[in-house]
This record gives sequence, structure tokens and C-alpha cells, in this order.
Amino acid sequence: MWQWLVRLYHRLGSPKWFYEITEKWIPWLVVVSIVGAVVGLVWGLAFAPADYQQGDSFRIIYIHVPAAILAQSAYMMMAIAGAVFLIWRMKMAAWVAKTIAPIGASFCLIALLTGAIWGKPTWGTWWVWDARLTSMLLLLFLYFGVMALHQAMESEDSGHKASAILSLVGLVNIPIIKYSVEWWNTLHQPATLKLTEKPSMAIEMLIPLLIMLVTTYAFFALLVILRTRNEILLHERKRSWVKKILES
Amino acid sequence: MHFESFADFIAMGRHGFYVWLAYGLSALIIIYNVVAPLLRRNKLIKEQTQRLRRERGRRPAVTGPDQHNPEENNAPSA
Repeated sequence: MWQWLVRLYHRLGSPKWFYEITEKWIPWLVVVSIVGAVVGLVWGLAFAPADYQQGDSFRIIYIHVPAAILAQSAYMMMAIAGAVFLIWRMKMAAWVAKTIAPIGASFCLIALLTGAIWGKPTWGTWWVWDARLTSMLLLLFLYFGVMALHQAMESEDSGHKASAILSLVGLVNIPIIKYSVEWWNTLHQPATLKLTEKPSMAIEMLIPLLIMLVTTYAFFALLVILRTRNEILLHERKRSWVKKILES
Repeated sequence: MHFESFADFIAMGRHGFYVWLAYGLSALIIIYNVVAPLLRRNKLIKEQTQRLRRERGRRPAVTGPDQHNPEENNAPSA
């Protein structure tokens, strides 16, 4: 087991291995993303019953919740990749951390925008400065900060280091987002999905949400792979295996 | 099917504006995230292929230990 992990770690550290293996993964991730989005959205938007309190505006949940969950997972992955870079100086980890930042920021923006649009018919306002919304906005600014640090530093290496440190410090915000609906009075409803409890929604509403959640993770993996491959092409351009790709 | 007609589906029980605005904006952000890395990849491959061709073209046919720096070829000889 341990040896297998060590081998996986060394492979993941090899840009060439990553580039070649993801070549095979991309078509599958594209298929899962498209089929999952079509099934999940048609089911959620057209077939799931309407919410007895909110009516049809609750259907925003099928993009809002997966985007919000992913924005937080992506942040944690970015921080972990940053830590791997800081501790073991693995350049692949730095590139992955760098590529996650704009993607995570996009999902965070989707969660904030769809949340505001959902808030208007439900709470009568686009925005309130309550704990959940504010901590989620802070997550977006943390993503922007990480992206800015990558650009701002003199050398690429110090950009990677500085943004890794910021993303690790910003991890504090993740439990705050999660528990914000329990610790403070908020307009935001409590979590819809919980790992440890029975779901609070009807099964016909829940299944499309779970489909959208899985789809969002697959789509996220696809986006990270696409951007990381670009980083590899740029940084490894002098290697013979990249030259071979360029010449073909 | 929850809705009785297509018009009913678009109307979303009078919440159509909010639902479709939310999904429309999300779609725009998602499309950008797909298109941006693909365009960057095309640009990268184009640039690097050109650079490679340029370097190959300038390099002397016989590669020896005292290989010229490509930049030196442009310098005027004294």
C-alpha cells in the first residue's frame, strides 16, 4: 500500500506521465460532464416536483449547491497542492494549484450569483451581509488574491510560494462557511445535503441534485486537466517529448 | 413531467426570470471556462512550433561542440 502510494506520488510529479494519462481521461470526463448535465438538468428543471414553499424558484438549487460545494472543495485542493509544493517542491503541484484558482473562483462566482438571484424571490432581497453570504464572498476574494499573487511576484517560483501560503491561511474560512448557518442567525437555509443525516428533501428532488454534484466534480477535473496540460506544454517546451508533440 | 406545456416550463410558475437568469449566467461562466484553456492551448502550440522551426532553421547543419548562439548570427561582424 505504502509503496503503491509512493509510486503514485512520483508519477503524479512527472509532467510527462500526467500529460499522457490525461489524454485518455479527457474523452471520458467530457462524456460524463455532458450526459450528467443533460440528465441532471432535464430531471431537475422539468421533472422534479416544485417546492411547496418556494415554488419553481427552488430549481436554482441544481446549479447553486453543486457550484458552492465545489468552490469550497476546490479551495481545499488548491491549498493542499500548495502545501505539497512548499514541502516537497513538486512543480506539478504548483501548476495544479495555479490552475485551480481561476476555476474555483468561477464556481464561487456562480454560487454567489445564483444565490443572489434565488434570494430575490425567496427573501425579497438580492443580498444581505449575513455570515454565509459574507464568508462565501470572502472565499471569492481569497481566490482573487491567490490569482493576483501568481501574477504579482517577480519570479514564478515566489509567486507559487506566496499564493500557496495565502491559500493555506485562507483555509480558516472553509469551516466558517460550513458552520455559518448554524453559528449565526441567517436568512440562508441550513445545508440541504449532509453526509451523516437523512436528506431533508424528497427523493425525486434529491437524485438530480446528486447527479449534478457528481457531474460538477467530473467537469472540474476536466477543467483542471485542460489548464494543467497548458502549463506543462509551456514549462516543458524544451524537453524532447514536448518537441515531439509540437512537431507532430 | 412536472409542467403541463412548454410555455408553462418556460414560465417556471412566475419565477421564470430568476431561474433562467441564474442558469444563463452560469452557462456563460462555464462556457468561458471551457473555451479559455482551448484557445490558450492553440496559441501555445502555434507559438512553440514557430519557435522550434526558427531554432532549427538557424542552427548550422553540423552540430559541433562550439555551437553558435542563434542570437549571434544577427550581430554585425567586426
